[in-house]
Amino acid sequence: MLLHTVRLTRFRRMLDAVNLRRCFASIAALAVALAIALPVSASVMIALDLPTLVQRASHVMVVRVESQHARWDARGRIVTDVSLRVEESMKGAAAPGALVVLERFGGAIGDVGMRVEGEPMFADSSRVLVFAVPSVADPAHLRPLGMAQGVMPIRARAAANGDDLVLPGGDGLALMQRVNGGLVAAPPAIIAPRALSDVRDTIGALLEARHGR
Amino acid sequence: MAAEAESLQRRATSRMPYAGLATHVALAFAFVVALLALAPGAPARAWCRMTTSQTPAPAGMCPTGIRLEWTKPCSRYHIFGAGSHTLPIATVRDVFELSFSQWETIECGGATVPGMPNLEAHLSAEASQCDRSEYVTAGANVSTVVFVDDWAARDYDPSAYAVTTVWHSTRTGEIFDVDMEINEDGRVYTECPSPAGCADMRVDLQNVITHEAGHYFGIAHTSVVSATMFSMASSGEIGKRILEADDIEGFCNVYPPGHFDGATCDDTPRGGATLTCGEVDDGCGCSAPGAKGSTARLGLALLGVAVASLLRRRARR
Repeated sequence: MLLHTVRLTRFRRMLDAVNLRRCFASIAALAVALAIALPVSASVMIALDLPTLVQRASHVMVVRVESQHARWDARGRIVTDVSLRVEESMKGAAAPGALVVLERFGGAIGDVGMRVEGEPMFADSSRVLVFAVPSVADPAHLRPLGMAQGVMPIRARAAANGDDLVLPGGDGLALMQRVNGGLVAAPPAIIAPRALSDVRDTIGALLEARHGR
Repeated sequence: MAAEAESLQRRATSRMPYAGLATHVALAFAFVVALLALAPGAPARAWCRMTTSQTPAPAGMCPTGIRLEWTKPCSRYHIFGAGSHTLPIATVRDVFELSFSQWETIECGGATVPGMPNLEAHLSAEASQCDRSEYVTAGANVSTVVFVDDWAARDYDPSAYAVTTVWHSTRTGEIFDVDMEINEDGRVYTECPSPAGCADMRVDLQNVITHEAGHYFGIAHTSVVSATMFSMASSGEIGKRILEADDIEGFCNVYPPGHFDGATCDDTPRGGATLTCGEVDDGCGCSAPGAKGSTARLGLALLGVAVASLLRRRARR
């Protein structure tokens, strides 16, 4: 009887999981359908899906924003150096606990502000999942891959199972993809909030597949 | 809508024995909300204004901070050099005129005072000699449009078609200067036939510039990073040449008809007009271009004071 109950519970959980997957899949399909239409005012950019982000990024990390500092760069732009404390490193050399600096375009110095729509912005002390590449001008600094696509906010313990939740990136961007040579609207790498553990597993699987393991 | 769906999903899955049923209910509700959002005339708001804020917008909301806007009715921009490497300058100029006129000729129907916002961005006949985005706080400026073939060297993302930089006052939100850099590194721009669009790998320039012109005027993008934000506009490669109702609403909200009544149309940039860039590298690796004009002038002033002081001492002797 006990065994039967356990099996029944397992079966119900499997059904729940299937329903959940169906729900995610349906919402994903709906989102893709909706994404065919596009707003006009945003920086136009090729959409990067999760496998592409993982493949192209030199660093994939969960980080916490420690501080931000705006400065003029050598080309006359305002850039903001965002100091990030690494909490978890999924790809790249930065070890947990290390401090890395990510550079974003835009910021404010005195009375002058510079804004580039589609560049990511950061709240102090917030946690984000970052896909980054070395800056061309200063390889010691990182740049977000795909502008705001490479920065996904994390909401603490907001998933159904009490896990942290990764929110979609790409704020301020009009994402496009090539279809038969033409450009059509495309969704961001993740189209709905996902549990961090789920995203971590996906990234791990992508890295393993890439290494041929 | 995404937040609602997410909330429903969370609630549904937290009650595991009924999770399957709850999930279906959530799914059905999400679909209904989505369909309502798609329905013609749905009051979804996809536009936001650019602001002075340097922090992310609250989830599902427009950014906080002071809104960015032109405080005078006329501005001027220049195309750098010969323009695109693949399109004749005459074609490029036509595309820019058409793209900006999409915004300039908006009819604000339903506004308190119907009509056009009377905001003008003049494309100068003179070519810019400044090939980068910059703003000089104490000197002359040029709003420049540059077709860039060293995109990566500028640290811009190779996936981006264009980057528009909006320089503004952090105190008032006044737009000081706007520069547009267009990625021509490995991209070929053209005028795609309407309504079919391009079937090859070329990119419709007007499609991209109409997007970027919105930023020129301070219009941003919704902060809702989910499919719901895509609910109000058209699709297709050249569809975005034409503004949608939502864009018009956003623009008319920023610049309602009558906004500039009585204002003089003077398109001189802030600090005066120039065609050239300011100096950038002062040799110490710690350049401050925003102050570069003033730095040069300060140096001259100090030199003048020193010479005057020297002459006065000699005169006393």
